[in-house]
Amino acid sequence: MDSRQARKILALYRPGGIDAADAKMAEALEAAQRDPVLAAWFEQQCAVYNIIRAKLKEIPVPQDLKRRIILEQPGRLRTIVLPLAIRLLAAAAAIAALIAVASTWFSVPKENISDTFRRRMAAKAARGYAMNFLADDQAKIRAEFLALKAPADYVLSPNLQRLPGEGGAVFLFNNHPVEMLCLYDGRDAQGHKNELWVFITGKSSIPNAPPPGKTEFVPVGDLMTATWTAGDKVYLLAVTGDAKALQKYLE
Amino acid sequence: MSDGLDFDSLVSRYYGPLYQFAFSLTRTEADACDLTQETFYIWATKGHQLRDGSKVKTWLFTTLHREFLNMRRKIVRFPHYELSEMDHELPAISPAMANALDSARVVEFLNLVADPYQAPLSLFYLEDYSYKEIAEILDVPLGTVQSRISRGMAQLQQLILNATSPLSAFKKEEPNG
Repeated sequence: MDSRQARKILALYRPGGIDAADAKMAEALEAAQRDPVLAAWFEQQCAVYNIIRAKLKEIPVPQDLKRRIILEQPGRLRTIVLPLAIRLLAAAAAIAALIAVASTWFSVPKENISDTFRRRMAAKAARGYAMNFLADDQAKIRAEFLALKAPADYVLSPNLQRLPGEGGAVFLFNNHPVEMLCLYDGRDAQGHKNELWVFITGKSSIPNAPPPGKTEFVPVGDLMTATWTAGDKVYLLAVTGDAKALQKYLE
Repeated sequence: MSDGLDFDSLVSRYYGPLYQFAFSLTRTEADACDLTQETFYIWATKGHQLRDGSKVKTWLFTTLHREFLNMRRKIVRFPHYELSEMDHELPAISPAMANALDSARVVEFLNLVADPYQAPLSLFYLEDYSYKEIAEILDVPLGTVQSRISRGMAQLQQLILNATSPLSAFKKEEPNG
């Protein structure tokens, strides 16, 4: 192995030994011991690796992220740890408890695609999103969707049709395209737009969507959502507020 | 499951590294949070299908990366590059050059590296995975992972060199189709 080959291999070496077991790496390390120029380069490369790693490890993690993850967990499971003495005295009960825990574990709910769709879309509305285009009226929004080769034959209620637009986006949910219309209905006391989001996807992507004629109202965080099926599409409307605030947009 | 960990313990142990990996890919807090939350949500609903408890961490990283690719597809479609073998030199940068940058700048540079190299490079720096495990997480062959890390590192170091020595010209290497 010449110096050039060794350098190429050692570039992938990470200090700490995780790569040391690799036969080629070991050979390259030996080469570095014999070649002072290579050794100096390798030492510098390891130092640079450690610095970049340390910089990336400094990425701050949002403080409330853990809490949000745990709150979002479906069918939470808890591990109950009893004091040792009680466990020893109550072996039979412990076995029963284990069976109960096991049965709970195996009954973890299967993914409900409609729930997941609702949750993901509401989260998108709440957390922020990138729009593919900005458009202040709904005719322009429809035209933009057509330009993106997305379906523009969706049907909105008269009260939704009357609202001015902000823009729209097309993205994927479980590999199915979803259109998002961002609309607003006036402004609040602080001058912020009262935003609404309409998500539209094909019926086939949400097999357990509400049947035609039925609308499901479900709160997700600060948002109220309504989900319904019409034609070959599933619609999800998300607004800030309660079911009453949302209801008027369905008329 | 999960080395005997309950959900809360699992989250405590892995949400930080997962978030950092997500942030290195997306560079936005909202998207990184979204990816991390979604990863644990998928774990809560499907994790019981994992039989080998020692693979939980790899499973989580694999899932997060898959969700990231789903998210990316809505914005930019990039092909699954198979990179040809090509010699390239690592630009020589000193520890002082790397040290001169803050964490945000390093993440910014990481995101300027060509798309196919970003995820392997992030795992290379952030996690102590073997190359075989990185290949498993990213669902690409081992040789491809090593090649991508090598190329990505060259681009990253070139960017650092460029930032710390303004006279050197940088030309971003495009991945070979």
